[in-house]
Amino acid sequence: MVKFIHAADLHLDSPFKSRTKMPNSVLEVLMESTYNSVTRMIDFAIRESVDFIVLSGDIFDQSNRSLKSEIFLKQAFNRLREKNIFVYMIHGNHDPISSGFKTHWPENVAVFKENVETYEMMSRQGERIYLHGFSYLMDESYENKLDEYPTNTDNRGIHIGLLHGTYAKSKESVKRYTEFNLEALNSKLYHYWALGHIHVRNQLSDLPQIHYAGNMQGRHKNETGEKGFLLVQGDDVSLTTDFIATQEVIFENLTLQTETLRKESLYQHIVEFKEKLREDSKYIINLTIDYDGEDEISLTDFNELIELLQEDEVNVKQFVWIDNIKVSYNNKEQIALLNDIKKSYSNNDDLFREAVNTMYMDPNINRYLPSIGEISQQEMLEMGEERLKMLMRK
Amino acid sequence: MKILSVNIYGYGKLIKEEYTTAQDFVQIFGENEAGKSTMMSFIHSVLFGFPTKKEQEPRREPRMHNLYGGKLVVQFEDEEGPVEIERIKGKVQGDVKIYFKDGSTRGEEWLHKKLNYIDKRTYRSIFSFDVLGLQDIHKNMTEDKLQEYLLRAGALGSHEYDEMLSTIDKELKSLYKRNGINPVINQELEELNSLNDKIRDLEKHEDSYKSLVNEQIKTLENLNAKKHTLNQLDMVRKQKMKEVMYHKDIKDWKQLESKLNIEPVNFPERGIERYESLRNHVKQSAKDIGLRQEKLKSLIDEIQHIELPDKSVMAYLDELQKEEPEIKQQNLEVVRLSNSISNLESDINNLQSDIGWTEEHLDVDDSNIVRETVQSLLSKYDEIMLEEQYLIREIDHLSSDIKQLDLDIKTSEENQIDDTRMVKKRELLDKEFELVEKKRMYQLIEKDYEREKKERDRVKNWQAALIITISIVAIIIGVTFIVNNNFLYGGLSFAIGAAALFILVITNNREIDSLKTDYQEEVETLQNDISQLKNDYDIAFDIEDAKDGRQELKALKAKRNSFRVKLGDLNETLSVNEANQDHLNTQLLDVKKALKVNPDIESKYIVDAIFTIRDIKKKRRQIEKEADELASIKSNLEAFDQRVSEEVSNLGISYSKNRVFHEAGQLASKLSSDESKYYRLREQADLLENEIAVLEEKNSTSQKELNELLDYVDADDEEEYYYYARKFDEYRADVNRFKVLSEKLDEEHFDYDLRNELSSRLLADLKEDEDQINQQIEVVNQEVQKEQQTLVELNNDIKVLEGDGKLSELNHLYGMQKSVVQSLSKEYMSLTYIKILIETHIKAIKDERLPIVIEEARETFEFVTKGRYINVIYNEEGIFVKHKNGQVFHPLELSQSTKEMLYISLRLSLIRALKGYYQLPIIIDDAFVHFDSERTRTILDYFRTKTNDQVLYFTCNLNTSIPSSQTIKLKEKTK
Repeated sequence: MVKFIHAADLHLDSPFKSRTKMPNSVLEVLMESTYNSVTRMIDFAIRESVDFIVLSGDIFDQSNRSLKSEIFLKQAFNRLREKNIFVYMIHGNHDPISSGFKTHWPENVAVFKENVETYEMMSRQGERIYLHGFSYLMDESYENKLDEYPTNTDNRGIHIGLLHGTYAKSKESVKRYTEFNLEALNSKLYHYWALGHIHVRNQLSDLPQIHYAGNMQGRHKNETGEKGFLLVQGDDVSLTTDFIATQEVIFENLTLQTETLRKESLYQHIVEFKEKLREDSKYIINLTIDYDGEDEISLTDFNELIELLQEDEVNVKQFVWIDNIKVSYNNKEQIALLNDIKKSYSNNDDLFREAVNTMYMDPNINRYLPSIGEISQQEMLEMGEERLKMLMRK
Repeated sequence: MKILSVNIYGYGKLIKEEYTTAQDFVQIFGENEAGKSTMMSFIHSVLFGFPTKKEQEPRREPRMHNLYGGKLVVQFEDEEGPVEIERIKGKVQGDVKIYFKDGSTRGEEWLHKKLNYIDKRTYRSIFSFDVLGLQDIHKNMTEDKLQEYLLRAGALGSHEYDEMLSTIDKELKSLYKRNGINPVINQELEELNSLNDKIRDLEKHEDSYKSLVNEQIKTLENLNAKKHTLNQLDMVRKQKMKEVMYHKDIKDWKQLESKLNIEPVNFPERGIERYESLRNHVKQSAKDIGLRQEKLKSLIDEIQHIELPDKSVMAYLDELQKEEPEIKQQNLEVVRLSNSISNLESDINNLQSDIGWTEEHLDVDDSNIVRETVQSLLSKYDEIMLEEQYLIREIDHLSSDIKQLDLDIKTSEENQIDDTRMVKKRELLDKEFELVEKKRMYQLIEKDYEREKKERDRVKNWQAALIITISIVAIIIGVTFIVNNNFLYGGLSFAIGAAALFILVITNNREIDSLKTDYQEEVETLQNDISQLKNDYDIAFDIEDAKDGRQELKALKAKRNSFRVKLGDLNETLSVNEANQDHLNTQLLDVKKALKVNPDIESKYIVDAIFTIRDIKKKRRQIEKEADELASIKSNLEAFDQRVSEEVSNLGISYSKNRVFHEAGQLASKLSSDESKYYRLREQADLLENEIAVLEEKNSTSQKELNELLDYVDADDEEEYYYYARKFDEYRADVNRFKVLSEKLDEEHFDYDLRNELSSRLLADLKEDEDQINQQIEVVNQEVQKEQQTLVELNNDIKVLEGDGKLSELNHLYGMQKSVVQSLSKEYMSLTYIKILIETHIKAIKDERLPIVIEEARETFEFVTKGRYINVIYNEEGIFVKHKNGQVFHPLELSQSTKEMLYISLRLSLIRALKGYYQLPIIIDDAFVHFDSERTRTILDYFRTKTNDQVLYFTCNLNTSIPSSQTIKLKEKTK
């Protein structure tokens, strides 16, 4: 029986995204969280004495290629070496080979080069394992190297494919590097495909097992819920996977029902809600307040509420950080005028461009903005309307 | 859209009301307080939701009623059938449900879409014309206001847009200015830039890591090379020290090597030990042989004293002993048989007395044939006895029954009634029956007669009355005539009256009673006859009973006769039976005689007697058999006594019947012990003889070996032999020492040449070499330490870099800061986007929609003013109207009602312009109060003919020109 770990998108030391500035206590936890999640995985691997670990790309994060992360990983790999656990690793778009590495890995670590390679190893139980994969040489390598993967022609051993790429049917808004479909993967006749790149854990197929392991620690409001790696066990006939959580902090978008919008009661209500969450884990939360009534909360009250809630979490070890609150009125008050406008002009792309360009044409600021393609017209429209409503409520 | 009917469940004061509004124009008339506003509000509420707190409008929930809401039946242009829109109490705005003709339902969302997302306020500001709206205009009819109203109507609330735009502008300014310092994003950007700079620096710093690592590797290589040299030197030094240490051993080795280079000394293996042990052995053997010979001699003496017994005697004694149990058994058998015989004899005697035998008659026939005969005789005898008993009992029964019957007959005969009385009785009965029949007939006739008589009387009375009347009239007429002196007629009339009276008297006298009396007489005669009969004869008895008595007597007599016959039969059978019995008794007696048993014995015991006889015979045979057996045993015993007494006397044993076996046993055991002792001694002697022979042979072999040992070293005597032994020991010690030294030196890697070379050198030279090497080591050691120092420094630098999370931390801060800037920027952009959308929209309205509105307004205005005004102009300064005479007026220059006309025209044109968006009913709330009747008619005509939308006209002044089919009158509810 072979037993290995499939992890991907470690994004070691990746900076976090939030709408608001966080206090140092929270920041420190976040900064350590990607490391802690990896440490948890290494501990698990040693405790369960797995045969090897497969890392399917994006080990590091372009936006924070610090020495610290490399040294940390080297030490972690050294721990594995002592227990004769091997590591097979490909690099993804966030840590292409060309970005260079400052350190060298111990001999139990095998890094796939930019052309498709095959490594062969023997599990503790004596099965032959063949691992196929390639690393990204450059950041933007859209070329599809799937054809170069060898097809499993004989029946001995277990074949595992490592691939950092995008499932053609995936709806995640990611850069669509190395798009593939299931037919292409199936045609290789491997036993397991360890995929990386998409951060949402997802099983694409049963036979063969094709999995996205997801990343090991959420980093912003779109990476919600438990995060971790997959423990794969079995033989050449059948493999099973188990998810093991490793995250330090959970990002979550939650909804809270309320019957009042009075500042004090609402504050109390949210505090109680936070205490319940606090028992489970550290949280960073985008909160939607679901309100079915006629009252409205004023902008000042609203800002004050967020401020209060955030102040409460300063220097709290097991924090529940409310990053943002959105009040959803069930009694949907429409700005009729806006509806009319939206209907008439929301399809006019030039107007949207014009609005976006106020920032993107500004050299002071545009270098800090995400690529212009990532800004969605719909999102802008909703955000603006929401904001306007809030402002009008003053 | 057209409202076909309004159905109010409960809304304000209106409870359970229904109005049909299926007309294009509907006048809804009601005086004040009749509920016009309520109804209007109701229509608004159903379409757009009940008023909420924010709206300045009462919710109008019924005070005294539970149901809140109602429904509208509506026809949409693009829907096939009418649709019901029902809104009832639920959430704040009420729960709405739309029912289709086909039974399906929809919800709020559908309605919302159907009404093109128009809200209540917008609907009001476009489709509702109310007094208040117009009044406002009257009071504040400034140019700006008018324009604003118009624009609001035309552009769907430009006022709100202004407010929105100014709010957005303010917010945008507080968020970001291109070259500002204070706005939020500017500040964040500042921070971000400084972070960025720091990161650049640190990244450069971290880049030096790689060169440090390279240097570290180089230093490590140097260090390793030096360490290698040091190890080499150390090894040389160690070799030298070893050489010094083993120098003495090497010298020894060299000496031994030359000393051992001669012919080796020979000596037998373990020579001395073997020699000495052989010598001891020889001595010991000689001593052992002596001892054994002595012992053998004494044994032979002993054997000669013991005699070997005769085998035949022993065999005979054995045989004799074996016979002992058999003889004993025979003796016991003799006793048992004599006992048995005497027992059997006494049994026989007992049995004989049982059956009355004085002696044994063994010839009596006791076979089963005799026994079965007796048994059949006995059973026959029993049968006969049983029958006899039965017969006697039957005879007794019968005779007693006959006696009883005699008695019964006698009593019955006494109770019989004679024949004359019986005849009379029958006669009496016939007469009584006749009497009853006659009485019944008489009663029927009587009843009929009474009825007839009554009828007749009634007729007669009528006749009498008539005749009397006639006679009286006739008499009166007569009197009248007489008074008038008409005597002829008077007399005639009198005569008639008298004649009539006469007839009356005659008819009333007749009676018919004769039939009745005949019957009565007959009945009486019969009754007399009956009492006569009763008196003459004693016939007071029941004739049926008398008949039964006679019958019974007859039966009894017959029965007695049959019993008597039966009794005779039984007596005959009994006598036959007794004869049979006697015959059987004789037969049984014969049997007893044949069996020679006592004839007095009861017949039923004969079978038992037969069994007893059989028993006696059996026992007699047993006795005879046992007596034979006894005789044969006794003869056997006597023969044995005879034989043994002769034989035993030869062996010196005096014969006695009881002790002979005991003595024979004793003699036999003595003889066998003698025999075994003899054989044991003989065996011991043989053993000893063999041992002596073996020892002697061994001794001679040992002596031979001794001599061989001495011959091996060519020694003449023992002393010389020992000399050779010492010589050999010395040689061997030298060889061993040489071997040990060789091994030791081999192990320390001193090969043969090295040993030879070293053995030729002096110790002092070697020590000098060692000192030189030590000095060299010292030098290299210092160099290694220097390299290590460098390495430690490098490692420290690397460690500092590795342990420094500063860059990582800054990157995090940077990332976080960036995301804050991004989210703020998004906010900025989104607001900008909204702002641009609003501005574009306003411009579009001004450019596109307004001219159409103005054109529509022009037409309408021209129509409602009957062509007095021909144009409505909209330019930069505002709105103007053109009179047909060419003059252009500002609205302020117009009369009040014309202004209102203009306003209404503009609104109507707006509705036209928005037709593509909304097709909703127009609601007019008494908006025309300021118009004279001419104008009112004109405007109403316009609404009735020129508008495509349904118009609901609420008014408190009933306009009679509108047909009543298009009018709904609301009544005030005072209750």
